[in-house]
Amino acid sequence: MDLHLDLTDEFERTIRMAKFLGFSTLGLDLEKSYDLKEKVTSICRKEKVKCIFRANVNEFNRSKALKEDVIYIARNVNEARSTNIPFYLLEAGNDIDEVLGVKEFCARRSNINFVIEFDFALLRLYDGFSFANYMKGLTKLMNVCRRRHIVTIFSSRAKNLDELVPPRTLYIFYKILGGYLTRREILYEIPNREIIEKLDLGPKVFGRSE
Amino acid sequence: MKYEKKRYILVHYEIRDDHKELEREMKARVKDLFGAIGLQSMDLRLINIETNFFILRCNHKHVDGLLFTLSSMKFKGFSFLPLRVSGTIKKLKTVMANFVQI
Repeated sequence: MDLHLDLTDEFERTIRMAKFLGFSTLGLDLEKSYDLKEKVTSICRKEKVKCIFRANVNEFNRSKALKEDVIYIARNVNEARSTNIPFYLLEAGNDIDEVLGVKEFCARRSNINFVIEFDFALLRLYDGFSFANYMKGLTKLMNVCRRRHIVTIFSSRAKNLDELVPPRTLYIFYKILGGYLTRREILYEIPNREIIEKLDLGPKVFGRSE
Repeated sequence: MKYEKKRYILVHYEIRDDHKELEREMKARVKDLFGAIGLQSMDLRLINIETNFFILRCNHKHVDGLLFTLSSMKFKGFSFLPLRVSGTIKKLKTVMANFVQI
């Protein structure tokens, strides 16, 4: 499962490629081209790949209603603090300061109604010491998530075909951050249980404690 | 001398470029992430370049490290997409043929 693709063009080829790599479910961010939703849905249906759509938490704040087949995303801690949505995904952060901010947020938040998302594409922005620094921040965040039983998911944040990341590499990323669960659990069972099944049951199920 | 097992990795890459520079960049990134000893034990080598693809060879114990390196780097603005790991080049050529149909 790859729950973060920022597709702008080449939809069909990228979705076919994701299927070739072994993904069964894709999370598509069509914020800038939302009118293409039906076209993308039909491509996914043709390729027999399940797709869900991503929307910003501000959209929920505006409409005050949950939509089915949509997962809500907070891009930073400020968005997460200001929302009253029952369940959302919080991105781990683009730089070390944001990552440490998310870490503090995770460590102090009493109501855990969110999932942390680690994006692989951001690793391509760094090299040398900055890379080591960023990875160190992610490892600290991962440790807090494990201690507080916060669900983590790993995705590619691919913008086009070439930026897709194979499932095996996503699992290697998880292992480097100090994870110990199996590949199937990390890339299929946990996201399926925590996100997809809840979406299938309808939006009302979100926010219930297990 | 003990025989070292190898693995071959098929990588998709949009443009065809100077392979020496490509190999140098990859080795630099491996050295950046795993150090000089990591690079030496990985035994990385660029085996074959075809249109949109190339094949890399490495030690079987360091496949995960190399996959992570390839996915986390950019070369001239393009990313690498590792498609398949195999013990033989023959198998990778079959995968390449299937991939072209996509």
